[in-house]
Amino acid sequence: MAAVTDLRPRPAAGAHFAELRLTGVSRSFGGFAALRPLDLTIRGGEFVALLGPSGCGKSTALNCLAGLLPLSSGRIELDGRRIDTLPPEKRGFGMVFQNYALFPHLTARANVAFGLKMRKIPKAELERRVSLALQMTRLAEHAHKHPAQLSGGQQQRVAIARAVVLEPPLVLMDEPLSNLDASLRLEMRTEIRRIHQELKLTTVYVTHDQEEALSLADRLVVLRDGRVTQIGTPAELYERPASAYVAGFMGYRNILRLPLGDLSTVPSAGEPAATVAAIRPEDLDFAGGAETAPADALKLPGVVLVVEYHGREYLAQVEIEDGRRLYVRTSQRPAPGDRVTLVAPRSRVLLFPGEGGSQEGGAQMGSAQVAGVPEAGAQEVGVPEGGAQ
Amino acid sequence: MTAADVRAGLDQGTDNGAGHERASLRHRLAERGIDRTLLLALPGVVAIIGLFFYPFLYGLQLSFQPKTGGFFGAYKAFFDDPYARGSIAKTFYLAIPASLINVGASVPISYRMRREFRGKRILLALLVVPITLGTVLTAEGLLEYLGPVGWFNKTLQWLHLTGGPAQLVNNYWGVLFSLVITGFPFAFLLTHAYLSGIHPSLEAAAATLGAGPWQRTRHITLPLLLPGLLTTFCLTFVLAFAVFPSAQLVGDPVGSTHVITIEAVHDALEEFNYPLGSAVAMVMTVLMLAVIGVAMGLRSRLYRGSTGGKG
Repeated sequence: MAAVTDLRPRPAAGAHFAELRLTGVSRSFGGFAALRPLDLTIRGGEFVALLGPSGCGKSTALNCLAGLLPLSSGRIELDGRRIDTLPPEKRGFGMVFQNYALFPHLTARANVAFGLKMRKIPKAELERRVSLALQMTRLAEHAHKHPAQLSGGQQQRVAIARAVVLEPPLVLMDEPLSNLDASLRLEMRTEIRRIHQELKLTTVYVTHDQEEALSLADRLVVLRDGRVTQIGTPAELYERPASAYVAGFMGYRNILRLPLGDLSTVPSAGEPAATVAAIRPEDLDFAGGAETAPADALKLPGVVLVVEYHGREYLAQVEIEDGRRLYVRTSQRPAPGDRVTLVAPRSRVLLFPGEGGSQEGGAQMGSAQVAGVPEAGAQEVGVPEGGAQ
Repeated sequence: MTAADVRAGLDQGTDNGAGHERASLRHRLAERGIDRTLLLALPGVVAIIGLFFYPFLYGLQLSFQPKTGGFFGAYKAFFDDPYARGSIAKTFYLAIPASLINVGASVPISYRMRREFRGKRILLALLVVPITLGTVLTAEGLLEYLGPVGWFNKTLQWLHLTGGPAQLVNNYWGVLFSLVITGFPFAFLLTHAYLSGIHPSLEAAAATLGAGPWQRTRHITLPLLLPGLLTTFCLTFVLAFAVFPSAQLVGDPVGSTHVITIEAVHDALEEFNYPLGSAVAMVMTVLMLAVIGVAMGLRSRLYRGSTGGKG
């Protein structure tokens, strides 16, 4: 797509901003606090992902930004100008909806042109910008079709073109890939990243898929029960999750209450004793593999229950002696029923004081994390190496 | 071997080489959607033929057999009589405003009813309850309430808003009120269903694209709702066009609300001129079909696909 760079619409004056500041933004429905006071500063050009399971408040935060939901308290400022009191049509942000929300009675072209028409852009410029947006999203030959005649991926691209054609200061995306099948999702993920690289439009992206968030975003905001649990770069979150909850999101599929094997006697230098261990399936292996385990490795005997074939490797579920089940990613081929010993380097096991998976896991993180490195919530045995996959 | 035998043999797949590959007759019919479940439609079809098509065709042929005046005598008699002929205009004069009011009033109410609020179910019940009242009960209520000594006029006079009692029943207005009261619930239920089918995210999307409330209505909601409104209009129009009891009871049946049904009933059951009564009924049918035809013609020019938001 070498030609694409030439098609790039010129960002309009004012399309970029220095910072968007959310201060104590909260939203409750009746007595239910969907979003607890959120402080977040987004820098111009940044790609921020709000990550969390359904019901964690991430879509609420996005709708508050878009102006579709009034805030219960707090304020939103764009370069010092207060915008949370403006209706959505006055904010000028682009939004991509989970269900795309394409206008079914308008063609793809008219859908893309809608926002420009509302802004009374002169006809010639409107035509030029719509054509550019359609070409950039590779929709030129589908421009005359109605949404019902387009495939899911094409509808998705219309939705993106419709949002970015306005060159908005901020693009909001609400789980835009969740309605697509697996292969299309990967393709569109790359597409979204490419469009962000080309247009440099500040983007806030909501997702429950950590892989999506890690691969797309410059910065991640992990939410839980309407509260921020950690903010950081993908590498920071992947390598130093602040809590067992965040670790669970970052691929630490084995979140286990201690004691676990010989980990029960971890020294705690004045800090609360660790109660939860988090281990990635790929950091566990069967003893007697290619590499000999270091002397201080965690060793857990168990029985293989289930084996999944994953191409270059296998994913096995192993029941250890006390009945707990662990996931192991291995190149060895196990068989169900095999008696095995799981080993993991000590440095690859994260220990947390919080209890994994329950209410107050991220409580010590507070709500007022603006940016950057999280407070160390983890009492770590060692920092795992290896960045985002 | 006759042709029929050959066909029968083919159907059973026993006749020749090609026959072996052919599925059984029952299987092939089933693939075209013809199977025993089709019998489920039978009672309905029989009822429609027996209770609608037969009387309709009987009336049609009856209308061409007047006692005097030849083949079109009954039609000529109807159109030559200014009083009889005038019932057409009077009927339209009632049915069109009534349908427009019903459709027009149901749009804003349905629009607000899309969202949840306290007491929504009670309001819904209140809006729909007139369906359960018969026209006669409605008419009686109107006579009591809007009559010269009814509460409404008493209140007006108590407030010194009018000198004498306002004449609101036994004329055009009484019938119009009655048509709105009985027709509105139908219009509302239909419009409500059509509007709930338009995904709220479409308006949200339009808002983020810079469309204000009026532009959202004008460019998004209305174009998607219009086909539904035309259908709703047709339904309430048909109901209003066939008005009979209220025109008789709260109207002025020999004057301003001498509608076409009253004319037909008068001819057939009071004058015992069945051919003329049938002819009037046929004219009425043609007029209704013409209006529905126009509305459906308009509708076919609009977007009528999914309104679910995903396109």
